[in-house]
Amino acid sequence: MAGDGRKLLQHELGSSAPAGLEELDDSDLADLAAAVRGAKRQQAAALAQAADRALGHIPRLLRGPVRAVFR
Amino acid sequence: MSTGDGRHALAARAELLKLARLLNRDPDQLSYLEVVAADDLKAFREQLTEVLFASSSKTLIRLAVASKLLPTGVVATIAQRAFGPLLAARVAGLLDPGRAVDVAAKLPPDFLADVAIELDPPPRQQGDHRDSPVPDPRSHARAGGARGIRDDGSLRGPPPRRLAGRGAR
Repeated sequence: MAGDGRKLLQHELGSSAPAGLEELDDSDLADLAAAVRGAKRQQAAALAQAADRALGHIPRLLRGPVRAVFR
Repeated sequence: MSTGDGRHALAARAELLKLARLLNRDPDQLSYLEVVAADDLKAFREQLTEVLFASSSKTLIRLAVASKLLPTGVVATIAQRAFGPLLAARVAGLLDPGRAVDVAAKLPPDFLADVAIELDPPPRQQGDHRDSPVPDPRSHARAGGARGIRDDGSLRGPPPRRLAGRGAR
């Protein structure tokens, strides 16, 4: 449906994209929205994995207080 | 093509490469953005940086808080071995500048150069980090040159392909 790509991108950004991007085809805007959504997910997953790996480098005595920050 | 047009095309290409890095896409996959003006691409990149930060801000802030409980040497080890340059740069933007300087002093120039590529634009940083230690500027310049960074901090050539996890290397 015409305009869906624009709405999807606006949803992912939480606001309108710069005017120059609004001129793109709807399918391109939808692709851009998917890319933004993917980047958010990848970043969240990478952060979670990194936090798990980080615990292995923290001295045992400090692991409790550090875990408490995430509770 | 006039000099101005060439400069505009170069600026737009640079913005497209930076966007591809942020979105973890090959620049060719975003070729439809080539028709967009450089200023709009830059505005979109800055908007996207804010959006990505906001989407993980809770976790990033907690990581920054947790890092205060640890000796700077441990934080530096975690930055290298668990986080990698991209995530280290995201968290670095939330650290107290003095603390960030202490951690940076314990990191090798090669890793700092990789972090520098990923650092957010100035508005995101707390303080401007101009006090960051540069023990040997020549070693940083060499490390930067090897990664395709010009003296002004812009990227040279296509960006390296990102691994799917974007975490530690």
